[in-house]
Order: sequence, then structure tokens, then C-alpha cells
Amino acid sequence: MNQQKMLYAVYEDGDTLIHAVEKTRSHGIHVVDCYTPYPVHGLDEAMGIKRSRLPIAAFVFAMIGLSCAISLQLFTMGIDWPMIIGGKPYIGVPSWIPVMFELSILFTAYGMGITFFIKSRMLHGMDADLVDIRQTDNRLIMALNVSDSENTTALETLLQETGVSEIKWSSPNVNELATSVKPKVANDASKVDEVKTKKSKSKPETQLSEEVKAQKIDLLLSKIGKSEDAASDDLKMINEVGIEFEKNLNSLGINTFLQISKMDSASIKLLEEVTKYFPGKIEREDWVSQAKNLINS
Amino acid sequence: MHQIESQIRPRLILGNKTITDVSNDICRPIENKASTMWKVGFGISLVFLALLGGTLFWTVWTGIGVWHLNNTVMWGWDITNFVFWVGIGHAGTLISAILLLFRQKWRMSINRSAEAMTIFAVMCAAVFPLFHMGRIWVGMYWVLPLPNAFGSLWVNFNSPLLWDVFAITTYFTVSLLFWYLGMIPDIATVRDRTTSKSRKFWYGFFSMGWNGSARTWHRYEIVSLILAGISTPLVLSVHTIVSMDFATSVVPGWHTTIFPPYFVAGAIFSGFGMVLTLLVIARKVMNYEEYITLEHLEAMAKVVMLTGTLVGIAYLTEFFIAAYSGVEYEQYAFINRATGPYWWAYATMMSCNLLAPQVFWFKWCRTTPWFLFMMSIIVNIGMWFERFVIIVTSLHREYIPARWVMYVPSWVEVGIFLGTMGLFFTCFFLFAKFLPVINMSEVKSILKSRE
Repeated sequence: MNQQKMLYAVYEDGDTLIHAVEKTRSHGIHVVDCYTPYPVHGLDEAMGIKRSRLPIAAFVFAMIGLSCAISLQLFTMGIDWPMIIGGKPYIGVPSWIPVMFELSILFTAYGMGITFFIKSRMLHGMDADLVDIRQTDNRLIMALNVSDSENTTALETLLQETGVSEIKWSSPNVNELATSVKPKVANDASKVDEVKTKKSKSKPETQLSEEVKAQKIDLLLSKIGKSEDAASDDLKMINEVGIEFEKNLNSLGINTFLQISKMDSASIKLLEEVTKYFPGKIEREDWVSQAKNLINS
Repeated sequence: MHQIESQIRPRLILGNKTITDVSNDICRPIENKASTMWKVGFGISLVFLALLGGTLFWTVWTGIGVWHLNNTVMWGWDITNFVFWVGIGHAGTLISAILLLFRQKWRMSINRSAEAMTIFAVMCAAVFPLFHMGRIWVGMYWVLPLPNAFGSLWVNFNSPLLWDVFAITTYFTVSLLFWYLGMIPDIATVRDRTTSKSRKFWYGFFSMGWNGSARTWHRYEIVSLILAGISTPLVLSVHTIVSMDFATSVVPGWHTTIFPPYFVAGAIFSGFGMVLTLLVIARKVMNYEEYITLEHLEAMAKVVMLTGTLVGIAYLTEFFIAAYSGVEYEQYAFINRATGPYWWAYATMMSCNLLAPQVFWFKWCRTTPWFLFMMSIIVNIGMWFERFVIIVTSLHREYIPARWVMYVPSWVEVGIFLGTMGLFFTCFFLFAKFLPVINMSEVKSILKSRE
């Protein structure tokens, strides 16, 4: 089991998870992410997540709302059609305060909501990238990147000490994973496809022009080789690749594990430029060696 | 990370629940077939909803004259009901925003249903001013800041009625966002638990790909805090602005500066009354007595008592100020309220809002569910009468005695009010069946804490 790169440690309690994260990190192992069904307070600090700068965005949105309210009222009441109402001046600022206040709040709330969804890459109908089907219900998962870790037995012992309830490796037991994790995802594949067709329209366009994009794809395929349609693998077998990713890859002409296994850092960079998806994801999750393993198995 | 916990206080959630139990208990109504009780309740609500449709249709079809409003009493049941529903809509955001800022963890098992109630109540409230405009088909156009049909004449930003449009639409949309955002993790839980295909699709659609990543949770908590921070002044501003609809006019009995705080206190009072009405029933019927415990009911009873007393003090202050001001019209307005033809409405208001909540000084009254339910109904009745008293008694005998009239609602007005009850309960029954009534993710985080 020396070639595995991702490890998922499953816990049943928040406090245990925090201690586990602290302990694992103190041993120099990188905690990629944690998945919890409820907000575990202190987990972000334990993982060393930097405080989000969302409050700055909130202030900016409030100011946008405020200036919209001011200009709307100034234009309608003061410039476009001035009228004396109740003996008040045309530009009677005190009675504009309620609308200024309400619009500031409205813009802040929706600005924050939208920023949050963009930052968290959330969209209606999106397929959830689940590590374990129970992660939103009753299990807490710690995802570790163990690429550099030589001694997996020591790591497992370390995790056992933290009170882990299960340990799952990301790939040799792909089949086992396929039974324990994927079935739910696979079940709704057809339905999600329906959503995808709708969604693909609303997806933000990549900034690359079509020609440049086509050139890059050609370059990429020349590096990793083209595949015949007949020889397509189930790319979803690669952990962390969902239906969405597979579709994207297929649309670029990447259909086989062989192609993915041939990728070097330059071609990964190309692929990321073309798709604009989750920069760093391919290397972080080590698709290349996952694909190699899948070919061998 | 580890909070100091009081040893003498009971746990917030009883019954030694595990996080699995929480998911099982709270997803149960969603995952099981609807109970008979739910079907009967939903059916009755639908009947009333149909009544709303019928009476509104009749109003639009025949004209606003089917209401018994007249030149003197130009606001009657419609605005009474509007203020009544908006007031009820205040408890939800108050519970989830203000109590979040104060770190009151007992809010966590009631905030979801209270926010739902807010949204449905504001929907009911919106019916009244919209249809009161008579020509509903241009109503939406009139209230928005668009140049109207007579050239580029705009809406009047000096008018509290327009502030109201901004305040209530903002309140509604922000509350909706707050409610939905809070629900996403729970919708994801339902999505991952279910085996039903349609449920998988719909809950999958609305969960927006939530996977509970710690990074997302980190941002989520910050967004919640900011939303709570801005919702707190928002919720206070809404009823303040509603009160300005009255306070900025020169009608005796309305033209007072204590209206904003007095209305806000009244709104919290009536909102908590309605939360109690719903939750005392829901915890029993849905078997959530271990989540919505007697502690929760007691805490809400205390808020009811406090705000009821505040409102009572406002009533007395109004009376004193009227006497002390030396303004004849103001003095008459209040004497007429208490002893005129609508004295019975005033008496109901006083006894329901000021006197009745004083029973909550006794612990038995705060912790006995059936008694709390009864009290909550009294609070609702009292607050409805408060708005009726303010609106109708001030208008029906204004300045010139020649204009004095009496006002009795028509069957259409009564029908619309009962109909909004139908709308409210229809929405609430749907909510109780299809969405998690208790915030699972938050409750899971407080299973072990006492407060």
C-alpha cells in the first residue's frame, strides 16, 4: 500500500477530530481538508485556515448599496422631477435615510451570499464531491495528503492513537470505495445529467478565446496521446473525479486512464488553463498515479 | 475551543442524543409518509387558502368598495392585518440574528421554524397593502421606483409608505436568504441519506453541492455572523418604519414619537406569541420534546412577559403624554379609545397585552405547555386588537365631528383575513413536511453543551 496518496480518516466526534488534526499536523503531515456534518468550532484554527476576508466584501457591498440609494433619490427627487412635498426641500436628506439604510442592507446580504457561493464553488444543481456518503450526516472526515509519507504503518498507528474509527485509502481499494462511496453518486448520474445540461449554459465562460483554447487542447493531446472513442475508461474511478469532471475531460478528448497517466506537470498546467477548474486539484489529488494504479489493477 | 459550561443548568438537548439520532429524528417527517394528522391539517389550511383566493378575486373583480372602508376610516381591517402579520414576522429574525449575536444557544432548536414563520407571515402581510391599492395589476408598478405613466413622475421618497415598501421587501428577501443559507447543510444531509430518486434530485439541486468542507464551514460561519449583524438593525428598522406610517401623520393618537420602540416591542411580543403557538403544537405532534424542551418554552415565555410589559408601559405613556400635552384632540382620542364605542377593543388589548403576560412571573405558568398555548393565543388576539384600536379608534373620530362614523368590516375583509391564516398554515404544513424543521447542523454542535 505504499503508492497511495490520499488518506481519509473517519471520526465520530468533533473534539476528537480537532485533536487528531492538531496531532497530525504536529507530525508534519498536510491536512488537505476536513468534512464535517456540523460546524466544529476551533477546527479552522487547528487546520491553520486563515481568517476569510469576507467582512471586507461586506463593507464594499454596503457602500455600493448606499451609493445606489443616494444616487437614485438624488436623481429622482432632486434632478429629474423636483417637487415640493410637505414643504420639504427638493434634496431632503433626512427623509432619505430609511431607503439608504435598507438598500445598504439589501446589497450587503445578497453580495455576501453570492460571494460566499462563488468562493465556495457552490451552484444550484451542482454535484457534491463527497469523500464519504456519511460526511453530511454523522461522520467527520479528515483528508490527508500522504504523498511524502514513507512509512504508512507509522501513520496508521498515529491515527489509531487519535481515536480514528475508520481509515480509508484513496486508491488501491478503488473497488471497495466504489461500493462504499460511489453508489449513491452513480445512482443519480442520469438525473444529474439533466441538471448539467441546464447548468452548462449558466457556467461562466473561460476567458480564453476559442482558438487559443483549441490550440492548447491540441498541444495537450499531442503530449498525452489521443484516444479512440471505443477505448474510454470510467474516469470517475479516479477518486475526486465526479460526473462533472468526467464530462469536461471527455469533451476535451481525454477518455482513458492511459492519457491521464502520461500527464506531466506541463500538461497538467495546460489542462488547468483550458478548463479553469480548481487549480491544483489534479496534482493535489495525484490523478496521475491514481490513473497508473488503475491501469495496473 | 472548550467553553466553560455551567454544571447546574440542564442540557439544551435532552435524551443523550448522538449526532446520528439527531439526523434520524429530524429527517423522519421528510423520509416517512405524511401522517393523517398532517393531511387533515393541510386540508383545512387549503380550504382557507381557497377562501383567500375567492375573496381576493371578488375584491378585484368588483372593486375595493366590497370592503367597508369609507372616507373617514380609510384604513380598517386591511392595515390592521398587515401590521399584525408584519409584527408576527419579527420573531424569526430576532431569534436567529439577535440571539446569535448574544450567543444564546437555546435559539438553535427553534430558529429554523421561527424564520420560516417570519417568511410566511411577511407573505401574508404583503397581501393587504397590495390589494388595498385597488388596481392590483398596476400596484407593483406604482410602488417601484419607476417613472410612471404620467411622464417621468417618480415615487415619493419623502413618504413613509414608500420606505415601507423598501423595508419590507428588503426584510423579506434578506430573511429568505438567511433561512435558505442556514438550511443548505441540512438539505445536503437529506440528499445523502435518501434513496428516493426524486428526493435525491430536488435536495441535491437545492444543496448546491454542499460537502461540509471545513473551509466552507469557516466562510459559512463568517457569512452567518455578518448576516446576523445586518439583520439585527434591519429587523428593528422594519417595524420602526411601519410605525412611521402612522407617526408621521397628524392624526390624533398616531402622532407620537414613542411609536417606533413601542411598535418594535409589540412586534417581538406578537412574534414570540406566534412562535409559542406553533411550537407547543409542533413539539408534541412531531415528537420533538427532547429538542424543544421546557427550557425553550420558558425562555420564550420570559421574552413574552418582558415585551408585553414594555408594550403596556407604552400604552400608559401614551395616555400620560396625551393628558400632559394639553392638546385637546389628542386627549379626546385617548378618552374615546378607552370609553368610546370601541371601548371593548381597548379593554381586550389592555387585558391581553399588559395584564395577561404578568402570569409569567410564576414558574408553573412558564413551564406548562397547554397553559403556554392558551396564553399565546391570548397574546395573538391582544396584538391584533392593539392594531385595530390604534387604526380605527383614531380615524373614526378625527377632528371634525361631522365626519365621525363607525366602521364594521364586511364579510370580504373578514374572509381575506381568515384566508391569510390559510396561506400561512398551508406554507407551514408544507415546510414541516418537506424541510428539516430543526436546524440539524447547529443542534449537532450543541449536543454536549449546557447553557
